[in-house]
Amino acid sequence: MENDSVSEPTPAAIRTVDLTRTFEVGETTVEALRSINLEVDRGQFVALVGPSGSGKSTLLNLVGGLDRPTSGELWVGGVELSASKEKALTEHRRQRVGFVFQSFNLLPRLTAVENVALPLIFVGAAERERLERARQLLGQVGLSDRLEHRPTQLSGGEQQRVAIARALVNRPAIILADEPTGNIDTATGADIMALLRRLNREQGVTLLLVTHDPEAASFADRVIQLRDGQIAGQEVAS
Amino acid sequence: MRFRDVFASALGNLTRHKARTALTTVGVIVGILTIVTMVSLGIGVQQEMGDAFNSVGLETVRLYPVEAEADAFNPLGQPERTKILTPELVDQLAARDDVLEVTPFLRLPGGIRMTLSLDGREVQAAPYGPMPVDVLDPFEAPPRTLAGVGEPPASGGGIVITSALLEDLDVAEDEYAALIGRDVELVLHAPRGESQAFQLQIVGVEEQRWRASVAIASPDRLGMLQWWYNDPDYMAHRGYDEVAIRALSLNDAVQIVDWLSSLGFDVQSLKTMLDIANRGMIILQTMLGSVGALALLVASIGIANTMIMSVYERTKEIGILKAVGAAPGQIRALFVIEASLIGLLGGVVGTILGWLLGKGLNWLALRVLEWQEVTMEGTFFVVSWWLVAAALAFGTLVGLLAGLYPAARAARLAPLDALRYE
Repeated sequence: MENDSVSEPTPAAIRTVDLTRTFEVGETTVEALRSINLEVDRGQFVALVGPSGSGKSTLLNLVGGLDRPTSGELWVGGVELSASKEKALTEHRRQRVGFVFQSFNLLPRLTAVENVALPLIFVGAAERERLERARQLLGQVGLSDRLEHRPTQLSGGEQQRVAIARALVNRPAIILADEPTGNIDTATGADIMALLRRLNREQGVTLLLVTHDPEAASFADRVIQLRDGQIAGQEVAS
Repeated sequence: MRFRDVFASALGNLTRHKARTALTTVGVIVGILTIVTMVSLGIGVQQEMGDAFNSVGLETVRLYPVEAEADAFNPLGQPERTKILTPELVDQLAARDDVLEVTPFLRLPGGIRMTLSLDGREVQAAPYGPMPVDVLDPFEAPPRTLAGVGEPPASGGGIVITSALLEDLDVAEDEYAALIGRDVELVLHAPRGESQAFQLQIVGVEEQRWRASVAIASPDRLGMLQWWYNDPDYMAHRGYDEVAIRALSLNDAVQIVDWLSSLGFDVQSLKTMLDIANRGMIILQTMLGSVGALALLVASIGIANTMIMSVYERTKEIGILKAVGAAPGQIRALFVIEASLIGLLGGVVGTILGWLLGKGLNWLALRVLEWQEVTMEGTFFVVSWWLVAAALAFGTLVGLLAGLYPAARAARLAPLDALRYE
């Protein structure tokens, strides 16, 4: 897919150079991210941890193309995003990343299979092809018997599985998960984390997880601590 | 994104809020209904008028003598003619290049009593025609000619008899052909007790038309009038009662009218009348069409309002769609198509209701005419295919235009803000 961005020769999954994001709140300027320099390898499972307001969700949203940095460089899959136009950002969200949200963000009037198939509508896939892929993915997350259920008929854990299947539907290189276990009980949360871990291992998809649950973070290859918009420390699992 | 998916999404959203969709659509329905009814009335009446005028011939100019006001002290007497239709004028008209045919006409007085004698039998007769131009009821078939010719020769001496009169004379239908060429005597009876016989030759037999029973040409009528009024110079004093002029073309008819007007005659060609009638219809249509347009303007505001509400309600959904890869243009398309569908729905229902209303009003109009003893058949409301197509396209366009602004708002939403919206 062509866009107006520059490409790196041997791209990392994510690379940032002095990445900064500030917000204007009234008269004051809030620095959500300050000169973040970070490199994430392909297939790596990285957890971003830190207290509320430390900038971890901001970083995730920048990587996902939902927001734009104020300054600095942001390379995702070898493509520079900070200078990208709206069209390129749409392509980025569509092709390279998949989101898993804390509140699931499923469309309530659609069934599980329709929710999973939804992103394929925007790439112009035929209905039969869409539903086939969605069924296959729901099978992978263990929901083959819940295809025609609506979100309200599913438990929190099941809804998050649907959301994970939806995130995978366009075969993205990176899954961005923002507190995926935040709205579900601990036992189910562990199942969800195990599922994400498995997908990361089996499909080689890069996983960027935002959490302040140490239990969830313990599944990651690498844990990055953020504090006041800066990297405060890193741990690499052995 | 496939159009089918956009369409399905829009349809799904509209059917989910049935009451809101229905109420929003009402405005469009009223607008389209008004426009369809008015335009169909325009088409129908214009067609009816056109047919009626065409059956007479638009190239025909009818000329009447100019008469003074009736004498108040002699209401039964004939008013003085200040402009007479003389044989010279008829000759002048006939000599013109742009005139195809000139038919002068003499009317016999209403009180005249006539009897027809054939083979010693005598029956009452009443004269008719030849009309200057046969103004037939366009909804009725012309009478059939049963033998000979349908009209007496313009030079005079001939007579056409209708079948009813022959029945009175006990002449069977298979004997009609044998009557052609036979002499008959037409006797006029004056109230003063005198009578005068006129010798005529049968030239044709025609099916019964009205109550009239014999057709006599102008020269014979002149003779009868001269005797009736005891005025050998009748033509110089009164002239013809009517002259019908058939022009070569519509434009020629207008020229002839101008020329006759310059001579002091008060004359109108049918074309002028049709033009005036059409202009009136266009004014009426424009006025009522404006009412429909106004209703549609209000309807479009209603659609825009509904769509803005819808964008607010679905802000979070728009955020989700953007997060999973929907482009701004795709979001815009979803809302524009949704608004257009409201317009199309209004167009469909409005057109159907407009068509039904037209049928109802047509029925009512014919019943009112019947009640006023004007028997008439006709279609005054015509919903043509182009009108249906135009109404649907117009309704859709109104919806589309009304949806542009709300759709643009939806497309412009920042994905992160939209996702956080609760």
